[in-house]
Amino acid sequence: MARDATPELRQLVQRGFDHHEHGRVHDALADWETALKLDPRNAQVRRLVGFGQARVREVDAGEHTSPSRRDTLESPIPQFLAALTERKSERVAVPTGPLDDSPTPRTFLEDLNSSELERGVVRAGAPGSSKAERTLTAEEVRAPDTLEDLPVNAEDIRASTNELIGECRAALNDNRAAPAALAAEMALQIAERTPPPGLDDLIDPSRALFERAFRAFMGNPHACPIRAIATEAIADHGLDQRAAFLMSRLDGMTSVADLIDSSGMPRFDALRVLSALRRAKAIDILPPL
Amino acid sequence: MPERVIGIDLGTTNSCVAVLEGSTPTVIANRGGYKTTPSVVALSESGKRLVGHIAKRQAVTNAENTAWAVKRLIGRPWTSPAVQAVKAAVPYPLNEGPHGDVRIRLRDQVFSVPEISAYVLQEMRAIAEEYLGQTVSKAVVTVPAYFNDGQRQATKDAGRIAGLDVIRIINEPTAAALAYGFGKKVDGKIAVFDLGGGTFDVSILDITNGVFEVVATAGDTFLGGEDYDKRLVDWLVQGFAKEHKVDLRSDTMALQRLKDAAEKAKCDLSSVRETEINLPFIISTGRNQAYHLHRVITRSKLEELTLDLTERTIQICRLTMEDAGISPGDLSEVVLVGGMTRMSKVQELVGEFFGREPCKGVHPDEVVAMGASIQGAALVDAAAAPDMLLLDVTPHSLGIMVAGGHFHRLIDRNTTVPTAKSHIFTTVRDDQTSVKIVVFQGESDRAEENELLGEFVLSGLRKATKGEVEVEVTFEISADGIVSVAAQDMETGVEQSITVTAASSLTESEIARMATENQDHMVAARAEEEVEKERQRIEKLVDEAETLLPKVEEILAGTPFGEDSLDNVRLILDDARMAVERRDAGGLEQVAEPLMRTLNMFRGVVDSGRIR
Repeated sequence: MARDATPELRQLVQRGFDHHEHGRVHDALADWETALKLDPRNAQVRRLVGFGQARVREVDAGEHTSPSRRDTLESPIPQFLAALTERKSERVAVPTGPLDDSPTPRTFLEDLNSSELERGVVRAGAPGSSKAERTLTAEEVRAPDTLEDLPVNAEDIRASTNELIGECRAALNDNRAAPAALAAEMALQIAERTPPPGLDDLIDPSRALFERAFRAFMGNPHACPIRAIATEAIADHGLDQRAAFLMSRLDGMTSVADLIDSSGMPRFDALRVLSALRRAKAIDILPPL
Repeated sequence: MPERVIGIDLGTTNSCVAVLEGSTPTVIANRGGYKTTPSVVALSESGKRLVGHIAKRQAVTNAENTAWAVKRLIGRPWTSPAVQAVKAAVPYPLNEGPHGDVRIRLRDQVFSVPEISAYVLQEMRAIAEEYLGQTVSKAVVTVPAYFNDGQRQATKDAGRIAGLDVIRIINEPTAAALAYGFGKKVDGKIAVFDLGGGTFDVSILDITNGVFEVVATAGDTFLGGEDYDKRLVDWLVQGFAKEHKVDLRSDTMALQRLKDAAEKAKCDLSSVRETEINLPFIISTGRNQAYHLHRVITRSKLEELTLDLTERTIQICRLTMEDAGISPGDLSEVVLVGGMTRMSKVQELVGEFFGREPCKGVHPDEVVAMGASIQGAALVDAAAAPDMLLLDVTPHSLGIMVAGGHFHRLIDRNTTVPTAKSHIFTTVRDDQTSVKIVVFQGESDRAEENELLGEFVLSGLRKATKGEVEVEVTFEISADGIVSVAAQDMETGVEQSITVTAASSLTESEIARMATENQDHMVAARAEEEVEKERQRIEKLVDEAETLLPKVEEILAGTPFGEDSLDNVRLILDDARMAVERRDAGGLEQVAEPLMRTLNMFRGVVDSGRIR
């Protein structure tokens, strides 16, 4: 905000943010435009007005709507995990061994194209299965905290994780940040649910790769995220209190880099949570000043 | 045109910078639009130095690496009770320094207290420089009226480390009175009631014909807005525990959000009668169980929770007034300073005690910095503040130890500075050839109960019976409050003297090294910013070129401009993309020119393609 930002101007900007996160983009734009009238040279507010105009155009054209509390869960990650556990009854052939040693097998991610990933849509069900594309309910996908009790072959889990790591690398090489970050997140979630001895031997060497994927997905570190949904709604998107904490830090002026630095979380974790928020469309990104 | 001098209110919890523009003191907002900046410094996980709002916003989650309220430590020896009290209260580790001073460890780095303060001053300087569009090297910095010589000196050291020449240190109540009285005729005694974020001070000033004199001052260095926030946080935590059987204090992220929300609610309640604290998803106890905190708090509830704190300030006022022999009726004005004085209950109790409505004409958060900027301008340009003569007082009595361990005062507390006082002493033993001058400050008649400022020996005295040889001891206090003590043999004229420096201050070489390191850090940070700007510029060019590439390929298909040339262009784009991703300064420099050529060529091809 500009040097001589007044409390009135700040209130207008803040109220605009509140409107925006509740999907009232026209009201948000109106507040930011009023703020700009108060201080026409204010670069921060000018940026907000530009952003607000773009959002209004998108909404008016029906191109972009923020997910609301009542939206169904669209994140592909839980569905992927659920699909993995569903193999218990139909031993699906999942390739084993390192990816580099064998022809690239058909994987879950191959069922997707990047635009689907960008939209966060995924087909539930194991590869090759005839399950129709559907969206699982929150109850369904939240079920497995651990894969321990499920009759999933440990080798299948390792193979799937390996494939995801390979997908992450390949997507990054192709400058496809969204699928790369998604593959990284999936691999991490599988690892977190895998009983001992776990997958540390696969995950640990890949952390740098995953971090690159999350960083690429977040884009310019000097860009400033703002809330695109109310914080209360994040529970419906499978996000946790750390995401809520980061959401509470968003003020339209704190950059991605500063958020990570001030998150109090390890850098990797902060990037991962921010990526999850972006994937869930819980945040929008303002360009850097 | 004389050089611009900025005024900095280096506060315990928040700092503020101002500059005199024409005849108006202007408070300068930071990048976030706020006119005060938290006096908080942290080191992030990646080792990045965080200062101000960003540091404050992670103070709970990164508590061990976040230094705040270091003003309570500056210039104090490690052994002082105040330091030990701070040590017990803060989560960041404190250690004894090589000179018996205090050092702060953030991650694996050790900082002196003036260094941490320097980073805050540096930030204030940067805010001013960005606003003024010019380099600033001179500043007037304010300190509490009770600060002793060591604390003042350490504050000056902080300025030097920040690359600032602190041309004057002035007392905060004096600065407030200065801003309050600037441009108008003010005479008589006024009270300055300063309830800031971390400390409370009350001072009585006598303003006569443009002369500002602090007649009395007192306070509590552990009483401020943060204590009010803490009460609110406690109330929220207890309510939540009662409802959900979950202790929010066990989760640092929850606690950080609570603190932020409590502070905001407290501020809101200065203007509205009730406000809502809504913290969705404050904590989860399992994958499927999330808790939200939602409470409404009224102004009267906040007042009830904090009444004893407000009453403590009034009690201190009462004692101060009694000590100075002043009754509320003697005062012509009560000036409120510090954000907490916006609280209506504070205003109400202050009004009741002083028997008059406190003055609300000055902005409580900004008035001290404004006063400092007025003083700064007056120091380099007398015309900036005509008819202004600023006199401070020494907050403690100064003297030496005499026979029997008694304290002999040469300068009484609340004496206007600059000042000089002399007294003639005699030897106490027969054939005594030297005297030890031990300098103290404080109010006790027993020297050892006061604060030792320094000592020196005057030798070569004539052997004589006791009481025959006379030594004149002279105390001088400069306008900055820096104390010099000299002892002179009245017979021979031989003299010894010391300038009392902070009892546990930094050495000259340490200050110089810290200043250089700080400068290097700033240069590196600026260089990094430049690389980032260039990276963003190159990234935009790459994006544009990559967008145009398919069209170019289409237009050039089957033309003499062969696939080899396009391969070459793709290589340039790959190199550029790689340099962007790696943030490689050398790489960015290398690709800039060929990338620009490529893009110009692309634009030309696409334009010519359009024409055809």
